Amino acid sequence: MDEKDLIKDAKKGNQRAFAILFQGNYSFLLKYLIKVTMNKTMAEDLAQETMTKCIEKIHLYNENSKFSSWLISIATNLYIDQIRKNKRERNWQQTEQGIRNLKWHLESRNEEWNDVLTVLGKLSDDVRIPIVLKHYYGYSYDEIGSLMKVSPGTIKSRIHNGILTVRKELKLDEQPERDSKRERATR
Amino acid sequence: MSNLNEIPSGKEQLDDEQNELIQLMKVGFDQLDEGVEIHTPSMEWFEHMVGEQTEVIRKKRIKEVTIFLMIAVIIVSMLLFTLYQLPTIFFAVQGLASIFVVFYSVKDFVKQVNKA
Repeated sequence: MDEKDLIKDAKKGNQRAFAILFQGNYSFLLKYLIKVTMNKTMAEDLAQETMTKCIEKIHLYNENSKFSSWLISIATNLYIDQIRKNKRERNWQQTEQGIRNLKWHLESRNEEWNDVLTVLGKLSDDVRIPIVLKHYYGYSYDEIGSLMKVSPGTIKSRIHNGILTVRKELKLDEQPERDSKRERATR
Repeated sequence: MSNLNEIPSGKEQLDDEQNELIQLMKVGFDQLDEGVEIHTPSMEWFEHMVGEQTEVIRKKRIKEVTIFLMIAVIIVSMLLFTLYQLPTIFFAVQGLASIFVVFYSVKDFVKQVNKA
């Protein structure tokens, strides 16, 4: 049974079809939410809320985009709404805790932690979400704009400024190395 | 001289640094994907969750429709009461409502024209 048939059945209220769709997309959704929230527990809560919203709004899904993309748009808007309503007030302490947990997860599996992730975690959600969507998932500025209900121009400038900030933060450590490289080249 | 040619221009260097950074981000996210253990629940769990949520949504809809119908009945009863028992108040309310709609529409239109 392919995705289209499952969606048709889900629209008719078939619970098994919903379950198959969710199980197939759960890991993709959770991985996206971990990148966006930088917090595994928050990502798991949001994934469950996304599935609930999906059951409620399945009749509005027009099948123009992939089902996984539709889940991403629901999850992103849920997260943004929750931040706006201060339900999940993100403070630096909370973010730091989330990052520390992720770091621990990675290190316990002998995986290396990348400092870019720490810097990305420090960025505001309005900036990190478009960066993740653009540079990891390959969405266009227009798609991100319509997903976040912001103009594509604003998205473009947020990504640009976000990248500049990340570069600035990381460059602090690399400066002496870069300078010595440049010196060697001019000699 | 040849060494000078090897020095990248400002824009090129900026692009290179940007691409390098984007690559670094992708690697970081890939490590996050691979490193963080994700446990996908069983099909039974999903079926149970869907069943539970469907029931919650059904109850919520029934509650919303009931509230909507009750408010509608109250408003219609009040209007019918004023129409037959206090016609002056009924027509005054109708007049005020019409004035409000016209005023609000004009205000909204002017706001849109000014924005454009």
